[in-house]
Amino acid sequence: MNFRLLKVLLTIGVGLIFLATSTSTLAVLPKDMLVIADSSLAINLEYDFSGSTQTATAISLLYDGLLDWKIVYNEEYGVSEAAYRLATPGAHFKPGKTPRGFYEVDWESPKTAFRPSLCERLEISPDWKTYVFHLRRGAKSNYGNELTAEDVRYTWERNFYMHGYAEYKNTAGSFYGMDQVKVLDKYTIQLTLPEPNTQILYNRAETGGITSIADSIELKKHATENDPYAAKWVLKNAAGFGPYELVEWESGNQMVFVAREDYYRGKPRLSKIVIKEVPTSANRLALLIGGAVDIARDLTPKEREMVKSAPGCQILSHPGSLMTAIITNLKMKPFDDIRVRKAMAYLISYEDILETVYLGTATRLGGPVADIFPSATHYAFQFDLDYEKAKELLAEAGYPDGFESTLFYDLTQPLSERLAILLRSSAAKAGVKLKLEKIPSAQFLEKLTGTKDMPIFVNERDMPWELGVQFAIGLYHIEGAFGNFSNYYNPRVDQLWREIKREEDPVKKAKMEDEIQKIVVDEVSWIFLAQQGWHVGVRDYVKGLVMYGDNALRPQFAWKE
Amino acid sequence: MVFVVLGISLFTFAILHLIPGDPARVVAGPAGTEEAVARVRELMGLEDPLHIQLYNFYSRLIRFDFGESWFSGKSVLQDILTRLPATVELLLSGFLFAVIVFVPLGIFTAFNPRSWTNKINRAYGLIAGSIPDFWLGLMLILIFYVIFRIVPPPLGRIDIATSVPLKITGLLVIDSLLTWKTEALFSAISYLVLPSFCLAFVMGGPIIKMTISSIRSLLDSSFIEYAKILGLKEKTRRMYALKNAAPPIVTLIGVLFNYMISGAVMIETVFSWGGLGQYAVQAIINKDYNTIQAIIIFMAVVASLIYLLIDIAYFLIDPRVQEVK
Repeated sequence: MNFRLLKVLLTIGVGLIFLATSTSTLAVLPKDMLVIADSSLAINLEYDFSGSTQTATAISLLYDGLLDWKIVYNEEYGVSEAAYRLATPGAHFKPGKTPRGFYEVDWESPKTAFRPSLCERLEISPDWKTYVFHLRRGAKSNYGNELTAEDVRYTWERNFYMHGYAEYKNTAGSFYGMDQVKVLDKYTIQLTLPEPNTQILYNRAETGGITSIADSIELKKHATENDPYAAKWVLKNAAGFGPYELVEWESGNQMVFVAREDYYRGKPRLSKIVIKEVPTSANRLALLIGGAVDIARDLTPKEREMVKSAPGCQILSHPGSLMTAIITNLKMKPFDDIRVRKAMAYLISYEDILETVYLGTATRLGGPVADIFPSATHYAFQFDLDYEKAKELLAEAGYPDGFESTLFYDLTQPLSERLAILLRSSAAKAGVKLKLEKIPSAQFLEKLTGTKDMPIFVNERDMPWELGVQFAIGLYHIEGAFGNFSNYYNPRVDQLWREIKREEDPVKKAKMEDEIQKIVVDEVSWIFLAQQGWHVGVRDYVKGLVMYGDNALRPQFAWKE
Repeated sequence: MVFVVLGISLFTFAILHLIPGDPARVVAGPAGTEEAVARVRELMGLEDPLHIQLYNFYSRLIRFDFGESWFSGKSVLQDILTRLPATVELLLSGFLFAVIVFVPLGIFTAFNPRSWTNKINRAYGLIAGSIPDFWLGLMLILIFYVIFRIVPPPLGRIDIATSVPLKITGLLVIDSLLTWKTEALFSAISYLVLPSFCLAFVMGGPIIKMTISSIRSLLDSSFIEYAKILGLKEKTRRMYALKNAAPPIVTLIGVLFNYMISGAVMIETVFSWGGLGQYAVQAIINKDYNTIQAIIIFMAVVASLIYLLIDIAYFLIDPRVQEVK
């Protein structure tokens, strides 16, 4: 044996180990800095688009809205959540009326679901059609410009120009155009609705959500003739009144947010928030367990189990609003036949999916509205695995021996493949042969919203992140809705949707909300599978995270003990 | 090289536009209305006819302008130059590791065929060729970080709480040395160890095999036999063999360096390295046309340069090539 060579190799090996370990690997992150490992970063900073949950997180740090939800602690889940359950309608008033004969919202009332944000006082007319927002004075943007009614007016005008998700939110709240807006003075703006639709309040109450308020002075500087609302600039830059400022954005690597000293609510507890892109979920798990990050998102169910047994870590869980559904295309055979759609709904083993795919971390989705929101129903529970019923329906529809089709899914959604395999095996027992086709995200999105040519597919990415039955239905199940992936149409559903918006009687409204959900489920617009849940891996010392309906993180509320 | 770049860029342009998927929809998000998507498409210049887009692309390319990344909002060239040092540092360290460790190992084994290293090299050559580098990376992270906690986390190039040294070259190790920031130096080196080991490990197998077979075939050659008959010392004969074995080894190392570049893509993703590889992956996922085209052209140029360097090295090492010239 050549000891000289062995000595050389050993020296190299020891040297490597020394080099690798020369930095403390158990270094504690500073207490005022939060590090988050996420599967990807924000796509862009355009607050008028919905983008992704990561985009919503980034926007929520940079922008504030007029109102904010109160935060309540949910004892059942051990997690703080936005006060959706108080939102019926969620605004309670101070005694008496204001000089203009309106009611003023009492923020302190335990029945009021909202708290003031950029709007300091809110007056509502007795008929619930007119809203007067009194803006907070002295609130500055990250560019140093003071908040005025012009910022709100401009933001709303831009919503309609951009034709993005924000426009939908406005129309869901019966806000159809700028003729409904009136600037009363420098700090006061009035919005009048054609009907008493309280959805408008819910829409305004998202911390930096889609209806964020932008600094119009700064945005106007970047406008051009071809781009009058600075759409290109806003994709990568933020001019908002939120608690943080984006100081570094290395696409594909990290985003660094620094707390604003001049934030109107006072400097946030966390001075710095770093969001690192860690594409591999196994690495996110390793980083969380190792203490290199404070929060890890998008862990698989199995990885969440590992976090639970790791010292110093926990999983925060909440049912959330993220839905899993199997969606059929009602404009493609054989799914244009309701009997075939129902047959597919009977070919799914819902319990199996919840146990084997989600490992018990998801709950059964009862319908088009997640049950974290008021008025959600569970009509979808009528469907359960029943091969005989499925075969009977298929035979009635003219497919006694089944049929062939292609089941699409997004290859970047880790659980979609398992779902697809389970469905294929189950469907085969009734003669339905599903060929699995996994496609990249961009292509999936193209087919989902553009060509709409997938006969049947797994969808794990959608959620109606605002409460309100009509909001969820209007997003996905109304003719012409941009989320109507199934090409569903029922005139009664469309009619009910319009009527719910203007119904004042809560009893009648509840009845209509119930009926609309029943129709959508009975006609199998979607096959509702699971409510995936909001699950976040955190170190024990991280406190204050809040679950919002968009399932995004709201790290601005967090702190470290 | 100009024709190579032209051909590759044209091919890439065609392929990108043929592959299904609309980048404007990615930007507008799943809830993007048709109007919103159309507006984004207009901003991106995708509404123009293909020949106009191609013309715009080439007219920018002539000026070394690769356009803007739709996802970072910055010029693609700026993005590439920002991320390039991370990849260069990773590749250089992996390359040096592979050359410093595996070439001598191969040489030793070639001169001592009955030594214990022979069996190890055979097993290693077999394993290294069949292990994916990203899997190796994940296993090393599991063992050394998660279980033993003796290496830094797979989270970039330097500890998050350590100040980054002043940027001179962009290579953290070099910059730390130049500015004498010892904390940053140790941190940067420690973060480099696992990813560069992964790169080197996978490349080491072919290096060892080529080194051994190249030297052995020369040791068995008639001119070495002749040297032995003439009474030349073994050490001298080995030097002769080594010198003549160098050209194929250098060629292989050069070719492997090009493969290492593609290996770096996976390693960067696993270790969240923040280099060009990870940037390329993101660009592909998001269908960022400008970035994909720029990176492919860049890689083509780099590959061509590497082959040129191999030719030059060959020229310098092999006297027979010089005589022919």
